[in-house]
Amino acid sequence: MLIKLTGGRVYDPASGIDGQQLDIYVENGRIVAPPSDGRPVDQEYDLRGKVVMSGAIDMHTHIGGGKGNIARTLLPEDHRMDPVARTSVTRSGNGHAMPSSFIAGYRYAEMGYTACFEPAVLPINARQAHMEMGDTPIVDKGGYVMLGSDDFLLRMLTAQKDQKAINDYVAWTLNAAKGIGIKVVNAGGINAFKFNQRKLDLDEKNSHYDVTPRQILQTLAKAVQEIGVKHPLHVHGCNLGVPGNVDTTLDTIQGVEGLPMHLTHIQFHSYGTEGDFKFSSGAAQIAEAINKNPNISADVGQILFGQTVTASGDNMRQHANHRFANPNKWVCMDIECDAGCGVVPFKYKDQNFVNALQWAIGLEIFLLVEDPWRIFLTTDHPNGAPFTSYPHLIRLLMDKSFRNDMLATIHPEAQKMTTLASIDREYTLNEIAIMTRAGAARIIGLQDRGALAEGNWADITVYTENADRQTMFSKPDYVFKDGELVVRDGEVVKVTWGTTHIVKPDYDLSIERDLQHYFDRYLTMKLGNFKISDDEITEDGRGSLSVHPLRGVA
Amino acid sequence: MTEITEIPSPFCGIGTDDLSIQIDGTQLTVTSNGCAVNTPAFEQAIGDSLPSINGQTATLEQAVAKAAEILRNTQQPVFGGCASDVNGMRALLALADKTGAVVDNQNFNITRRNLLAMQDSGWMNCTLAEIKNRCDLLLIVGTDVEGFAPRFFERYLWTEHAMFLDKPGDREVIYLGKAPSGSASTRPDGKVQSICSLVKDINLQGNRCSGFPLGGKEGDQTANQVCGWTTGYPARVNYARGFPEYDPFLYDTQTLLNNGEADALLWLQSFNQNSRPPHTQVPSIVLGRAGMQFDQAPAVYIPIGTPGIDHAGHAYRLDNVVAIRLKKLRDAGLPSSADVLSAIEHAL
Amino acid sequence: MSALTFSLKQTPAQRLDLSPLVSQNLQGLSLAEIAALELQNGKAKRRVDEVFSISGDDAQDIVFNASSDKLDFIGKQLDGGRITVNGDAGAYLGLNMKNGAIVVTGNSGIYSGCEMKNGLIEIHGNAGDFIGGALPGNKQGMKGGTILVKGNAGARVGDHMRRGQILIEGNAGDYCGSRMLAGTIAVMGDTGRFLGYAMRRGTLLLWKQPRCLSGHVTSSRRLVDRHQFQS
Ligand SMILES: [Zn+2]
Repeated sequence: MLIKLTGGRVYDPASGIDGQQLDIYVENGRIVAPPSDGRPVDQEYDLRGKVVMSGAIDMHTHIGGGKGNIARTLLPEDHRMDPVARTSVTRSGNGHAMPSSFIAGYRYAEMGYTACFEPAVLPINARQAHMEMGDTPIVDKGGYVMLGSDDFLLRMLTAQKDQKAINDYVAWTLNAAKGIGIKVVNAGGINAFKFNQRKLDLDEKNSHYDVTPRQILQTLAKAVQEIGVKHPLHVHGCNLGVPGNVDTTLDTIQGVEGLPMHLTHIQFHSYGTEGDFKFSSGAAQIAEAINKNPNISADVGQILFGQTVTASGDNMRQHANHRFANPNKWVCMDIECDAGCGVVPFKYKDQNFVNALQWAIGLEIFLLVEDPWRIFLTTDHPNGAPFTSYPHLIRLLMDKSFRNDMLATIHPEAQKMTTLASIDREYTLNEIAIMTRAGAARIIGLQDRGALAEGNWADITVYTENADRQTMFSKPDYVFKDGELVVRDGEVVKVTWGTTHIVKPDYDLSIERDLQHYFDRYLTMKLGNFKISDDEITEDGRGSLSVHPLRGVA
Repeated sequence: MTEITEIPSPFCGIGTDDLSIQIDGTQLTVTSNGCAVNTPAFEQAIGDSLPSINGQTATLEQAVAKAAEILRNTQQPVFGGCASDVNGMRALLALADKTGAVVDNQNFNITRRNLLAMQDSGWMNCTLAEIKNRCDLLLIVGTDVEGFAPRFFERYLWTEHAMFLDKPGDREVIYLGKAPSGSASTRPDGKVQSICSLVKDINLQGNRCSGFPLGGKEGDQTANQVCGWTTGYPARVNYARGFPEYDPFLYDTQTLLNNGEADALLWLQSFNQNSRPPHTQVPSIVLGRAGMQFDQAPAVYIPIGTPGIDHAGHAYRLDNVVAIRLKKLRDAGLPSSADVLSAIEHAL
Repeated sequence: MSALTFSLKQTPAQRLDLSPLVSQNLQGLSLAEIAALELQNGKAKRRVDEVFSISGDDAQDIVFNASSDKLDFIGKQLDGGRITVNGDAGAYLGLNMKNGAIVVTGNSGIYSGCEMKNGLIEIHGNAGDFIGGALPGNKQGMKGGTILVKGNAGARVGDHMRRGQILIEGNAGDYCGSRMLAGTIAVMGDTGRFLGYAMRRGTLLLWKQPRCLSGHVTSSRRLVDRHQFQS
């Protein structure tokens, strides 16, 4: 079927198109050239006066994996407030902070998102992450596989194995767990917590392994680079949430020595210790460092006020933060000599000085980082806020007077500690499209998404222009996923199943000899049973795998 | 005759995945690493594997059509048992969503005290490899670990190697209390929450300590996990209103049958031939491991294959984090529970 | 004006959700409008007049006749007015009730007076588990008002209770006053095991020496140390 999207104003930064009025043709799921043979169009959508972008991509959102299900189980009261009934096309479920998997897929699609990436896939829990994502409809998905606190890697580092061996292990793990990138969470810290260390600075040694976080980050960043994975090492830094951690973060940027590195939810890592409350904004320094270091990218992890739940692999920091749990219940787990997790419900309050300043710090970072290709729109769902708050966040970025009105309502001491009121920048539609589409696809390494170029998959979102950007981005007129109309007027009209994006870097099979020995001795599963096979994702007839090219490979 | 090695078991809950099994036609023989739980579970003969309607042999299509007919005109169907693999639970929840059913795991009343304590204050727990490599003192509270999982000690405690212990054999094991003489349900609920807060307190006082709830066989954790991501709640929910609602007490299968609230029962048990659906007068659809016997023939009986024997699948270990990949070992022509449940959904 | 009376035509097989039938919702509605309201009953939605015969006109004085233990959520979020239940009440009687009074002549099910804020609930028969408690996952039970049970109460009376008072004229089950934060529970009959389990503050008034204080060491020690005890 040949579909024509006629006359919309197109924002497609990957193709250098900034608001020009263009026609787009779609056939067999992909964007195609205008038919030269004069073939009639089967279906035409009149998009004059509408804004057209490719489908949005959330490059960091916790939509799949054990900690999410722990969060769900922990919070029946949160689901009770947001039941979602089934319709003739959709399943029922529950929403709010940690929605059930089906509802997460629908709600993402209803906001114009067509791909979501789970950033904390524990190798041992990767099956669950893929199964949950497999039950998340419409959107594409993928995951970053967590390394850095696994005993196997730390043993390799202690034994001073060469980079080549580490590269093989990293590539093997990516294949076994079916990821598209590598993530480090509190490098070595989750492991150190198991040895009863309660904090771990960048240059502090793990008490058992004699290895520092800096070493882990450098080694893994190099491995990611050398095995050709396009997504830079995805780093959740040390000292999350600790006042003064801005210095750690700046050190981390320097410490990676020019290698590509993505700093996630950087808002939580941009805190100084100035002022009466010994808590201040480090946003300006962080933004300056990002501006100066083209190897660095970041997503913000904006907080927005209200009830949510934090779910993280960083059980060291989550355990320390449990005293802020609201409601007062929380879960921490040590997991399989692999990693850990911590789930702590949070209620961010605009009249709480720290929360109010966290809100301002996130916005400062958004507005002070100059290159929209290297800063990404996230709330670290659900940690800073549920993803359903993105339209509100977009308005904060695009509408200075709205932002300042909100600023005037937060804790007065926090207002004094932020430069937000003096920042005039308003994001343009083109910049929003970069941050949520073109830039996201590029940083993840997706080859045929995030741009409206011919040959790409037709993931397309159409909005009605509205000065109130929150309204505009809350309810797209149309969302096409792989060329099929899945959302009309902000509601799912058809349920499709997205693909799972992965990479398959090569590795030397000899790594399996060491791994086999290690698995047999210490782990609780056979090596052969650990590796996830392709058919585990595709056998239900809905799932599929899309393998993306590596750096330097055509 | 072939032999397959490194076979994972969905039966024991502790993720045993080193079984060797000899396959002779449809007969399985565990040749190494069996135990009192796994060996009989793998080896039991298939027995009668023909569907039936009111005790009369029927085709699968007829049985599916009859099941759909029973469910079509209900006021409150109940889906009990829920002993299956991930795909079985997925299909069961899809059918329940469409028919407005209660979904209730067979062992929910035992898991309930853990879940209610967790939903009230959370916990600090760990997984099996953490026990194997780090645990130097195991405090066992009021439970019979060996009876539950015969190979627990061999696989996770009295191991030849542990990464962080010089002599794994020197670990200390302390038993506190003993299994209660009555049924497990008479144990005080409060104990769980006390243990959870004790573990948390130890961690706050400068030591590391983790809890490890023992429980979850025959798909209990699988049911709770899949129900968890599908509905937000563990496996005792009601779809009657068109969306899932959680009630740990009112949606108990036996209660619903006793009170006359349930007007149809679908009961899923793909692991255990010897299990029996609850006695009831309401029309019952039983999806049971092939060879199941009944005192009273259900309205519909559909023998199904067992995950990890008759078809591939996924099952959760009792530590709730690790899902194991179950293998297909033989082809006895038995459908999976997911296939049958999806067929019923389509026939509605 | 006479009491707005709902007489149950036939005990329903499935549970029936009566939460729409509270004074603040019915005030100003005609009988025809009330009759057309829908109630959830198992999977079905039924008109009120399908289930009840309706008479009277005073929405501030609601009566349910021939009531049964399948009738849930009676007086949910009631904000003034009076509800009389002739017969038994199901689960969640007076859930989140804000004001007014509910009288049940028979027994009530689990979670009676759950998370109630104010008002009075009087149960002439026995009450189920978790009276004055909190819904699963919630940390705050009853926050005000009074629950009076003339018969016996089940387990976990006043679980997570924050304020208000509960008087049990008969016996209370296990875990009476569990996780209680404040408020008063008075029990004239026997109490079960684990009295005051994980209780933080608040008052338990007992007419009889508790049968078992020790079952749980930490809680009983706290109880003796910190809580007012009368017998
Ligand atoms: Zn995150």
